[in-house]
Amino acid sequence: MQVQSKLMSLVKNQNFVLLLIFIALNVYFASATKSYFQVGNYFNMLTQNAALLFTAAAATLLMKTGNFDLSTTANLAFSGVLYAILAGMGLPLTLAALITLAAGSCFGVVNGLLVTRYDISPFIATLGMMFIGGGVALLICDGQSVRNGLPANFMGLMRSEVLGLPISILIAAVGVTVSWIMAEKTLIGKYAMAIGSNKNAAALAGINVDRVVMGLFILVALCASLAGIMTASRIGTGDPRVAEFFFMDVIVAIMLGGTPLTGGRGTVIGTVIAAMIVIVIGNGLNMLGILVFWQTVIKGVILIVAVTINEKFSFEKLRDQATPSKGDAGAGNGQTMEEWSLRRGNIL
Amino acid sequence: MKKLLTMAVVATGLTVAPALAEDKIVLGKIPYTLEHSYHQSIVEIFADHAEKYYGAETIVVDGQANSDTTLTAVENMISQGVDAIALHSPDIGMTATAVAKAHAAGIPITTTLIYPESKNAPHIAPQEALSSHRMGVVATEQWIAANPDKPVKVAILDFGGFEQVVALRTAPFVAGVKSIAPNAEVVAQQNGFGNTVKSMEIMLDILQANPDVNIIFGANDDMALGALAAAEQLGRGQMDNGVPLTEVIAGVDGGENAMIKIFDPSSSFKLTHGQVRDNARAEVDTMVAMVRGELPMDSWMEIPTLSQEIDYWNTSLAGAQRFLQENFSFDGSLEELLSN
Repeated sequence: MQVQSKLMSLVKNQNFVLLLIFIALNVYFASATKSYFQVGNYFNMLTQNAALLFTAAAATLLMKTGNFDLSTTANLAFSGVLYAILAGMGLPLTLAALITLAAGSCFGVVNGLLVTRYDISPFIATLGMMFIGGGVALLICDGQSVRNGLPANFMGLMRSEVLGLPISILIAAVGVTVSWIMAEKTLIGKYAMAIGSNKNAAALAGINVDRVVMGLFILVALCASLAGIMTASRIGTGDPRVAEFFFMDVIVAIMLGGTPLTGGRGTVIGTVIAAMIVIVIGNGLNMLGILVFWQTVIKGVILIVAVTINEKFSFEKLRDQATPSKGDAGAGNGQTMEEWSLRRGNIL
Repeated sequence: MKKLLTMAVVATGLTVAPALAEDKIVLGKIPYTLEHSYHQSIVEIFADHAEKYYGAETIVVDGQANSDTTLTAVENMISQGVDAIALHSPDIGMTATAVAKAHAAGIPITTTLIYPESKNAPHIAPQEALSSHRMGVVATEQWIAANPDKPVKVAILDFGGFEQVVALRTAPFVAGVKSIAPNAEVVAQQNGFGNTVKSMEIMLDILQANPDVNIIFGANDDMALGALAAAEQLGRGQMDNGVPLTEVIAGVDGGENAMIKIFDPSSSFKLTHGQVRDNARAEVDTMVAMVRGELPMDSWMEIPTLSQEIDYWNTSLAGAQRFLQENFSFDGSLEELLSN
């Protein structure tokens, strides 16, 4: 009986279902093409999508507050170009990277200010920054990719390995782990959840909502900026037109992973598994030679299905029905997040 | 639509085999973007030529006009173990990275249109600059002959700063114009995003601000068609049996939609140039030669192909029909389309 209950609980766990889908996709593609199930191909997938993994993981925290960032693509392009320009000017790569990260974080500061201080919706604020950032990326390089004067070790970051693992994979692992710890083991994650559940209640409970939201916007901007540095290092040039749909991949991964646009719930693990599903589908369909137009259709279907599942068939509701005596893990003792929030003091 | 369906069949049909064929050559082809009929035709002819002449299999992955996506495609093809790669990249710097990666894996690679400064792989080089220059000359001659009192004002729609588009298309076109009208002025140059609708919107603004523009160059046919649509919306876009009244429009690629306008005596879209078949065949031939060890894979070699210039005044309808059949698998009648 206990085993059956545990099994039922697993089936109603969204992350478990996502994991099953991920495994099934791997089995299918491995049987469909022998080039797929190889260490080299998995390294390829992870290296190519390292930036997506750690940015989506960080953006999950932001989306849990009910906010999101459409300007990640523009930030990525701007940061890649700026990093290449600075490197081309002869600055040491570490210094160039630090300046780029500082500049990239400004996207987060502006987004955060627009959303928190001026109460502009995140859609409008970050859409505006997407246009501004994309335009600035083209302006600072005059529309040309930056490749002149780059030092010989410009691509070193993405070519280096530690213990046989590409450094980009390690960066992704560290980034995802940090976001997971923040979400699950620190108050930031609980505050993000509280803000997404009920912003007013969170504020009344003493949570400094603006500061949390601002901090998370900056975190996402830093990740997008790092993604830009990594992309420039990978392709060997600062290209202002790169990764045009990066922000969509981030949002698709987060929503498929169980975090709704309205926030209030979601997990970093879910996002990471969902991102891997999107990555595996892209890679597998490419290996099968499926026209990219179909891949775009499939991505759209995935997004709609994910939203439908989130909005209509909440896994949390199912899980709560399966285990009615347990409340939210963060709140504990059957409290709602609002009740938990109200009991918190002003910690931030 | 037909082309799109054919592409879908090619792209999916090529993959029926569960794995790469071990007993025949497998060629990877990365087009710039499959959103344009030009690149769809390249891929179709490429796969057909590879199969027919070498019994080779083709794997196609769309570069989506994006450096990151294109490099990802190269990496995945290396991982798949293809025998050679044909790359039409959107960026010079990334091309160098892609060539280096392929060479590091011992896989021959060819480039087309965009090549790395390192010049360390064979390059298929359509002679576009010559044809672009020629179009500038012909367009200006025709305009001045019909409107000797109106100074030449040029507007250009490009892809937004791609160096080799400048080198092969826009700069030679302007040079051609200025060789006939040294005082000609480029009054506007904007990014048309390679897209008809965008180009129409942008050209409406350009013509609003510069109504005296009389020569328009779109760096591909889609943009030229957008410019024509904008001109028509403003009551322009007209010729009197091939005599320029309002402006002369030129494009690049030479697809069916462009040809219908070019050979319509009342439309102001009158010139284009393009090459599909010879490019695709040159890519395949070069790749197979490298795979067989007949050509070194890491030496620069420029393989020129003619990008044929086609215009209303100097090209016969039969010549245009033949061009479409050879390059775009066109099986209709251009004459019938024009009479409808």
